[in-house]
Amino acid sequence: MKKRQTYVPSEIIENILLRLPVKSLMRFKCVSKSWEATISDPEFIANHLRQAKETKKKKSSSDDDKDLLLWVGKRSLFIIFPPSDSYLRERPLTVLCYCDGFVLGLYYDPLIKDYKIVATDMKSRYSIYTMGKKSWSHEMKEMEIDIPGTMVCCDKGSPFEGDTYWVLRTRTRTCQMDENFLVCFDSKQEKFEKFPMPIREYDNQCRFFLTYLGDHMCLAYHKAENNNFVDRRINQLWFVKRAPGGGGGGGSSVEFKEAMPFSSSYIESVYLTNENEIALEDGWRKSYTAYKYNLVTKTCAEIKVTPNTGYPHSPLYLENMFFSSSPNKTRKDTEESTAS
Amino acid sequence: MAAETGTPTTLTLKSNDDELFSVAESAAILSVTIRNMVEDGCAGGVIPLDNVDGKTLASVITYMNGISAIPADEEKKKSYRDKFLSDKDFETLADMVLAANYLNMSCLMDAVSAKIAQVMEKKSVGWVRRKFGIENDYTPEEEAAVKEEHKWTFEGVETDDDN
Repeated sequence: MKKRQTYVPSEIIENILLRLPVKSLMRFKCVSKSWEATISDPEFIANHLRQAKETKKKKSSSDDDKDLLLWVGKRSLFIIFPPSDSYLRERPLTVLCYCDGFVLGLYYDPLIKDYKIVATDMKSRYSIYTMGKKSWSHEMKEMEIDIPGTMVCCDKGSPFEGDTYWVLRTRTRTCQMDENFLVCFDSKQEKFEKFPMPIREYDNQCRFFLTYLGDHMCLAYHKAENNNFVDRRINQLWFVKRAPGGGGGGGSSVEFKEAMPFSSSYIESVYLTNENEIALEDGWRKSYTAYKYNLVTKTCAEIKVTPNTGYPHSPLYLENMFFSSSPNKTRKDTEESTAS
Repeated sequence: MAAETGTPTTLTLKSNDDELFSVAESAAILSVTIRNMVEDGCAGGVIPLDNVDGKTLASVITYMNGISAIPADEEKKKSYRDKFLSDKDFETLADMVLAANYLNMSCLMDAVSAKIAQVMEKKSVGWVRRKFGIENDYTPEEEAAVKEEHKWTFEGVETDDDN
């Protein structure tokens, strides 16, 4: 009796899902493939939007903003509710999606005190959506950067210092090798810029991606073996810092500061322990090793690790070790985790 | 169509486990399925409801009587619905949504669906799979990828309460 299960037909399930907040829906994409398909279906999204609007109308309180900003269907973009300031403060990453040839980035425009979304085909054109006005810029603008070949893939946008960055991979018909670029959408000038990668010698087995270390944004590089990519494994890492261009040219540049001592090892996880030092966990070798690397003196030292209960794959091990000994970092860390 | 003068007409409903219930026609026709039967004149004897068990039907009839006793005041009806559903567990709600669907009672259907959504909102993926009897057809890698993509939505999930 307790274990009895009721078979609920899919149309009834859909009717229930329509009434869930977006956060729950996104989580329930994990339930099964058919739930994922239902939740991602453009028609469902449109119905959900309608339902959400109706419920919102009925509700007297408008400060309830647990729903996120946008939904991306196969061919369409839906904006649900304008995000609150606190929402964005808590989740600077919000929703940046890539779908069906369109890449999206979200940013705040302090001049008009409003959020904007930039959508681009990463080929030549882009358009800007202003949340408050609920409208797209009237025409597609030219990106004015030269992107050779066709887009193979583009990651989700990574916001950093108000701008959005993407790793873009392109392929030309004549060239065997894919090319990777760092593309940045400058939110102040509302313009795109393109930067070459810090290393030129890489092949199609390589993957670049953006990640964060403390307050820094980093470009990571992972070289796969036999096309086997392992999540979060890193061969090389750079801090990314954009330098505004000198003169009236408008072109800025990006500085890549190397942040790892060895370029051949597989690094399980990396932490910034203080401004000049990072800690690395090398989980690739059978025995677990951890290092400290000083970014200024470029010296490396092994950390004596006493295996604890979480050993060997405890990404929290180093984090605890360093952040508990550094009061500033600890406070910041807890703040972040409680806010989200 | 409901008897507006004289003694109200009473209908007899039969659940799939052969329980019989008497209910005023004016309340029962909240169900479009029953109303159609009444209008077609096939509600003379006992109305068999093959998809609803006695326990659920009793509950639905309580609702029918309760809501039809409330005059046309949407606010009051809503608060009655909220109160009516407030102490129901997931299994009961699931039975009710199926019954409401079968009986074609859109107001109950909407209210129960919203209540189920409210119950589900902070539940884990595992809880949802168990309660709806859904088989996880993702490979571990696929599931990890979907999870990774929506990592932040896993914050603030309640601990499972079903085992």
